[in-house]
Amino acid sequence: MMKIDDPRLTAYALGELPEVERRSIEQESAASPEAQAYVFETRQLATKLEDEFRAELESADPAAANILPMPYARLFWSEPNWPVLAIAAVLVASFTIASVLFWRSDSPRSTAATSLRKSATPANGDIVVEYLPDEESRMLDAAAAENEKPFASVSAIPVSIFPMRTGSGSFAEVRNSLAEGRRPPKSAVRIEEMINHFTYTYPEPTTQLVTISLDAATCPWFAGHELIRVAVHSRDEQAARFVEVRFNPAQIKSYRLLGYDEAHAAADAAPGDSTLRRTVTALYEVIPYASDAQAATGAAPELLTATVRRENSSSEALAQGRLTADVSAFENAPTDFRFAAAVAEFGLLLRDSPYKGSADIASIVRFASSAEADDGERAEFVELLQKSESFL
Amino acid sequence: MITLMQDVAIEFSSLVCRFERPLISYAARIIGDRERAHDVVQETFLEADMRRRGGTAEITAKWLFTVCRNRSLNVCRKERRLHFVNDAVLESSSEENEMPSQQLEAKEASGFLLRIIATLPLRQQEVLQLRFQNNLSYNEISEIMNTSVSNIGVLIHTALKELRRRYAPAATAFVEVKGKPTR
Repeated sequence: MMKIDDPRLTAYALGELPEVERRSIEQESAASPEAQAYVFETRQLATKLEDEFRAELESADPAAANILPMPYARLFWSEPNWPVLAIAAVLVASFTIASVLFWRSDSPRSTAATSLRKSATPANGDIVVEYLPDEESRMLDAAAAENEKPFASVSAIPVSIFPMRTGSGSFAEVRNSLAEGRRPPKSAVRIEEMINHFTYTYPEPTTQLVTISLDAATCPWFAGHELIRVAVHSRDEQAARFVEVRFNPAQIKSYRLLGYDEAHAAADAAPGDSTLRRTVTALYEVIPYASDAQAATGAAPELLTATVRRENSSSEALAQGRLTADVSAFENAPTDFRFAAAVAEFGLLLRDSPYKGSADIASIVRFASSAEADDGERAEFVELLQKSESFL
Repeated sequence: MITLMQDVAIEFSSLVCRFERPLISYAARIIGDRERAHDVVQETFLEADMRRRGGTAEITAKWLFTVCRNRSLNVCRKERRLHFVNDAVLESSSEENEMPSQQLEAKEASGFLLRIIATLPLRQQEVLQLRFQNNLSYNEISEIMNTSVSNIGVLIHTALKELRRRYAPAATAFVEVKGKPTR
């Protein structure tokens, strides 16, 4: 008579036994209806448990999931999807729970594709829950497929890193394409290279090896977002290798480093393609928390800390800078900032990025011209913009 | 260098997306406080981030759950939460409270089994969650919980037996007749 109350039989039912033991249990249980029933019931119980555990995750506190492809939030409010709003209203009315999350655990894609919901807080303070319609879900899939980085949640990943190294061919490729009246292929539009193709003026390091300049302004292509410029200027090319940016989770909800999109695809590119730079300008598009809270506290809170390092995150810090929540209107931002932002916005438009927001060529021309600053290269850029107006 | 870092960033966000909720749920079970669990999971992801940047090591589910568990236990020890002082307590049932009969009637309601599970000894809760929520093998679970595979087998067997015992009185139709093996 086979023993039923046996951890081995449970392990067998759950498919956990190695081959040899599995066979021997199969032979023993062949003559035991009790053992067979036990195995069957154990598997049923296992399925029920899996269902309940899955349901638990699906109904978990949505505050737990932080990574939101936010650009779609605005799309939602500007073009109301009435059936969705109706569902949302019903949900808000029926549940006192803040919101509901849908989790598609079998999705093979990354963040963008698996985030199936978003919420927004309208003026009255209600939290609206939205089912992400198929169309948008497809767009998110497309974003993932096209290698666009999603926004990263600060509470989950507070630190972002970029190297003091960029490639250099992108601007020339874009210029040549546009000169021939062709839209450059997406892979040729590398925003970080385009931004760093131009020369910007930053304070020369005096006593230190490296200086960091940080500033923030409103984002011209996405109302409610902000742009943060992190500029590192080094006296010694070899010293500074990468820049670590740590965001304050109390102030910034999520961030996206502009450019560096193609890096993934470029894994097999020749290593000599990128060069270490003395000066690197990087732009982050960030989603801040509502700003009324900070007014009350008086002193402007800190938005981020940037650290320039030699090697890795544990190596010596060559310089460190802090940025407080002193966000200027885009029009009042420094000339170099506005110009770099115009280049980035042009890049988003050329790439037809899912994060391009309201980017449009006319305003890019306006921003860039106003930030031309008697610089031949910038003047050339404005001409390029005009050439591309016909197909953007 | 660019390539390496961007790879990390891309993989990382999908890692967070995939594991954030399961880890929070697991940590919350150990700590008994969802907010602290949230912190622990963030620390776990930070450590994973460091590890990725520091070398070539792969971040696996097993690694994440192991780090998350150790950090959760540290919180318990530090804050003298729960009964995580010694294993003897761990093995004992936290509360021997049977389900009230009216709750048994609601057995088909979602979360019925989860409510029973919540009354089991913590280590049994852990193995159930790792096995049935996160689809981890006995082998992986034994490494996460730093014990032998056969001990994991015993824990799961004991937990399922208890679930069956508490569930059975109210669940007359638990085993569908059509699927029952013939005798």
